[in-house]
Amino acid sequence: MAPAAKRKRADGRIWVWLSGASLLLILAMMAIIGFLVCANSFQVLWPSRLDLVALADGSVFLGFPMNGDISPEGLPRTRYKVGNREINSGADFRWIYEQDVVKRNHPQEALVVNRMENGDFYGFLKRRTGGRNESATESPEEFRESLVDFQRRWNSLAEPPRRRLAALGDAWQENHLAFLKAEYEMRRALTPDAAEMWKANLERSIEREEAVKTESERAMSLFNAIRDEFQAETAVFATADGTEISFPLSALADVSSPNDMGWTAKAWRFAVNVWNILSQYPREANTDGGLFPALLGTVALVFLMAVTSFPLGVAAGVYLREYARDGILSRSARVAVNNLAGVPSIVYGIFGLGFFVYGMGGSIDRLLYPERVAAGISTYGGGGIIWSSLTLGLLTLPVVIVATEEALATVPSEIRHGSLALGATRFQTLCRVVLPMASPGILTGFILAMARAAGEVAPLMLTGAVKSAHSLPLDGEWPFVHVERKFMHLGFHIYDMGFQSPNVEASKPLVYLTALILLILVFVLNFAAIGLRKRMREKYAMRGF
Amino acid sequence: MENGDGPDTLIVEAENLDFHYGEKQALFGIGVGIRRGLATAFIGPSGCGKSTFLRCLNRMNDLVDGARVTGRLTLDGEDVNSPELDVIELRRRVGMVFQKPNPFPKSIYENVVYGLRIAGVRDRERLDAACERSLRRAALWEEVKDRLRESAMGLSGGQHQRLCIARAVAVRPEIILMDEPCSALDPRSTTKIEELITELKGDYTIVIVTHNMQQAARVSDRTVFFYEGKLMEEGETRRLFTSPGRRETEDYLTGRFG
Repeated sequence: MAPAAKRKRADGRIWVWLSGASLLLILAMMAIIGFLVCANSFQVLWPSRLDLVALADGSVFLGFPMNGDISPEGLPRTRYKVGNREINSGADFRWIYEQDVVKRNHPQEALVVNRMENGDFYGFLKRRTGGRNESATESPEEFRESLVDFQRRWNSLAEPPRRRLAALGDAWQENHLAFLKAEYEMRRALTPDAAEMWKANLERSIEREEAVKTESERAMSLFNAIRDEFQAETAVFATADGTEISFPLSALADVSSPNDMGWTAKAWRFAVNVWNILSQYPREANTDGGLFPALLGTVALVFLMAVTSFPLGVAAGVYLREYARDGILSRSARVAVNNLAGVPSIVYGIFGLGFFVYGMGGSIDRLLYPERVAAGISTYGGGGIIWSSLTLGLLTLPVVIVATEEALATVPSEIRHGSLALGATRFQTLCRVVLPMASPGILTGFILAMARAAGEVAPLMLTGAVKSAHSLPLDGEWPFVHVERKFMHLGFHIYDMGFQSPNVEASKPLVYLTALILLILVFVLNFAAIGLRKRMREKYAMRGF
Repeated sequence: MENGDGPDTLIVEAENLDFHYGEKQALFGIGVGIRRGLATAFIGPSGCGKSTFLRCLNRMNDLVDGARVTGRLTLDGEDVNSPELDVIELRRRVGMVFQKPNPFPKSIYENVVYGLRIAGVRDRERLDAACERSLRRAALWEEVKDRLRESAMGLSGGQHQRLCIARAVAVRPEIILMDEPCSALDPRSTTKIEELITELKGDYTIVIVTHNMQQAARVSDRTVFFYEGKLMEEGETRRLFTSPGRRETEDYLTGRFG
């Protein structure tokens, strides 16, 4: 071998290149993921231009160009989102060959109508009927204001009966449970007196059920009257080819005219869309609407998990490092903890289902609510946010324990001796010197574990996450935190929208958006970890050692 | 025994003290008396047991797995190794300064009052007074009085060691043990610590372990020479340095080993 080549091999330059290339590859992949997620989410949020396309066969339609490619026959084509499901026989999308396109333009008055059901409608506003300003011809902007006004009126009138109905529903549910309990206890009563008492309770609840029923019917008819009155207010739209179609205003969520927007209007719209996504409930089997319950569920889950796993993990780590004698027992405990960190999360899910949900939850139900168990109703035994968070807590425990141990190990023994020599007990030394010094490491490990838990899905599917929860784990109703409730979760939401949805194609941008929000959540947690660690390091800096 | 070795003048008495680290015996039948109010230096080559003996005095050896002491060791006539003795109380009476300065990553103020705080002192004025008094005793007050609330980590190495002395002084111990307190410091800081020792003795009994024979000669009133776990010679510093009674002492002092 030539000496120059030999030297080249010996100095390992090729390995430097290879390692650099590996890093580059990883960074490129991360950039691609980030770009994909951001670009696709942007598509949902940023109002893009609506095309009016005229085809060679004389037909016209309105739609958003999504993506283009070359067809298998070698012809360029574009996929349009055309909405108008009831007219286009349910299909949201349509491939258009470029050779068929006669003309494209962007009429300013073209409207995007976001509806409560059936997705988007693209068309032109004709007139409004019923209510005030009957048959008035309005500009899109005026119509938008009318719609907002309509929604305000509708909400102020319909909200009280709607809330009343919800309260009555809850009352019915509560009464039904009381009925079950009375029935159950009556059959089981040991003394005639007790049986008599439960019988009275039973009769009371039957009476009450009747009362609630009548009350509900009254509230329902009141609500229906309001709804019918409002339903008389409609708007007539025309599709691109002139077909007229009328919708009650109450079926519309929102209208916008993207072709008539300047940059500031678009930016404002973008902000409104972001807010809506974060604050609204999902609609139409999660393919439309917002992500609020999933976001709240995720955050609540992570915090509940933190409350259980942090003290437990830190305490265990402290015992292992500070108090346990170094022997076979403590060493095998350490090995077990490390192995636990490598257990697949679905296994934790199965454990959570078996131990927490069926075992603990089932026991609680049998102990406290035997009458519900007899009637096949589960309260704690059917999955809930508490069991999910405990399962996740278990999953993150090894990380917390290891982080705690390692952080404690970095505290020099001179410092501990210094404290002990001043007459401090081991516990005082631990609390006043060692733990504060170890806190940056402990917190970093813990928050990283939290970030990991926020993205975990598999164990949740078994222990309480659902595709659509009718109530939130946190609300204004006593006791505010409802740990037994099922919940929605961003990660599960992605899975549900992306793979279980009846209209996967329509929910695709929303899947990316959900992924983006989950990523942001994890980033925020990580940045919080970095910030916290920096502050702690400054406070308990070890300079001079 | 020389004159004046009455029970009043001796604060620590060891008699036939053996010490084991597991299987290994580190001290063999140590018998010595340490006098109240004087500075006593422990000298001897590395591994001779001087630090081990020092750590017997405040039972820091308890922290070592497999440590075992036999024989008699008393502080003011009380058995140091008695199971009834409160180690926490003992360590309050026998303070210690370590080889490597080990201030806590807290403010200067919190470092000084640490011993009082863990003893349950809450009274603000008492803590403030103790802080100032201790820092003055450690000749550090003038340098840090304007930044008591700042982190102690910003001080220099020599200041760190004086802070550790202030910390030990704050709990008003009877004895201050110093385990090679200057070995990690530069010459100027060393001089300061030595001056400090000279000033502190009288009020406190000082026991200093040192490798540096000049230092022992400069700061101590009495010197104990350890060799291979045994006490070789003990006496007034000037006498021991000028006319050592034993062969090994003379060899060590003249640098024939060390």
